[in-house]
Amino acid sequence: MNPTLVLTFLRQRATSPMRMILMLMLFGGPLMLAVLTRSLTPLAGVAAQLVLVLVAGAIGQDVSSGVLQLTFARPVSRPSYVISRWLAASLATTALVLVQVLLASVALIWRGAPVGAAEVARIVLENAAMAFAGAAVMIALSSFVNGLGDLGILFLGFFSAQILGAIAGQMHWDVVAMLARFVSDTLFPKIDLRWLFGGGAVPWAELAAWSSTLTLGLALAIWRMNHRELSYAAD
Amino acid sequence: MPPTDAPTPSVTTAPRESSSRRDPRWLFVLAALLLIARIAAQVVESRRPVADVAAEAQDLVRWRTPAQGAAEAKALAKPVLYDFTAEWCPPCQRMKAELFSNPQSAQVLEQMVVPVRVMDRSREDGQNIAVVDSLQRFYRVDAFPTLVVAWPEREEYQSTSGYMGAEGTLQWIGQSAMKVRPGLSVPVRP
Repeated sequence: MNPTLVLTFLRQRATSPMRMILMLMLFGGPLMLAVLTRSLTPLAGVAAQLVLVLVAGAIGQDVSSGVLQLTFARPVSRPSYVISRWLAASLATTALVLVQVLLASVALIWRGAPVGAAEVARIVLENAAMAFAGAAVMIALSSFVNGLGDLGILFLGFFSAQILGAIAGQMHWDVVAMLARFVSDTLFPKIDLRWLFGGGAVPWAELAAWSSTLTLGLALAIWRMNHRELSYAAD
Repeated sequence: MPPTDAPTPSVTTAPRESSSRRDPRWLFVLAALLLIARIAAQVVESRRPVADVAAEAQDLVRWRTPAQGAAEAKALAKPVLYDFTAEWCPPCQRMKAELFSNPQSAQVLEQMVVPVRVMDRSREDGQNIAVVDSLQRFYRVDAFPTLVVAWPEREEYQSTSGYMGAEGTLQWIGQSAMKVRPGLSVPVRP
């Protein structure tokens, strides 16, 4: 990891007005909903959207703008660049969710609604897991396409998988349904951590899916970056 | 003696081994192993019959009949959640196992809405009871599971078909419960 690259990435994201507006909406909207419904449930899964806004085009935009060539003119290794982008997005998203959940908890306690420490911890951890794996997926997609093409691939893939899954469910095509679920779970990785807080058996399949998505995303991104020939003419 | 040609420089198309490119082989191996483990786990899970998974899960939501639900929703000024479901439908059983059998989710649901289950029996019994038919027609239900959040005695409602995961579904119910509240204009689904 390269701390300078982490900070530069966060500074770059913070200077984009559109990103900041979206982040503000995704931060404030679920927070208000949590206060109105007197429950932390609206904050479950909020990291999936926050990380999308933060990480979209993380590598692709650097390629389009020609920044990447300049970055690699310095003594920066490609894996370190990928890992720094991933860590920056994941940590920033986790920090935002943490603040969001803490603010909501304070507001709920103030309004007299019951808030359990275990529930707060679970929601923060599940969101953190979502942020780390989701960022890895987006970084991988961004290493393959320029600009914000990663977002296009993500939504196209997800909706195609959803439609295919629905058709497969109706037609009893088990293998196709499993494949569609595999794609959906990979593009929007999530994990249920209720078992950590005394709620049921360990979901090994879900754990394997989450950790596989994370490592596969990073491995693909690093492999792609190592094999990418950068030149001003080509990109 | 004829002059010998100078050796021609070799041309390679392989990626340059510059100092910025380093392959973390351990990560590639780990990713491959986890991918294999994931596929194996998914195959094993898919071979478990849906009925087994659902039978293991105990539905913790206190479902009302349509008449009870409507009366209770009116009295408590809360929206009704209609769960249009069927015994034979795999996503419905997944929703039951992952969402309705979870104590916290069941509690949150009870706080937000009055839950009403509308069980389709047309495949098993050849036809549905009248109230199920009329609710399915009114809310234009053409797939299972379909969730509808509606305010008592108002025509506006929110509906969604398919199962989008426990968290996503709970979030959708929470948002829909806010949207159908009187005072907030929501277009009726065409």
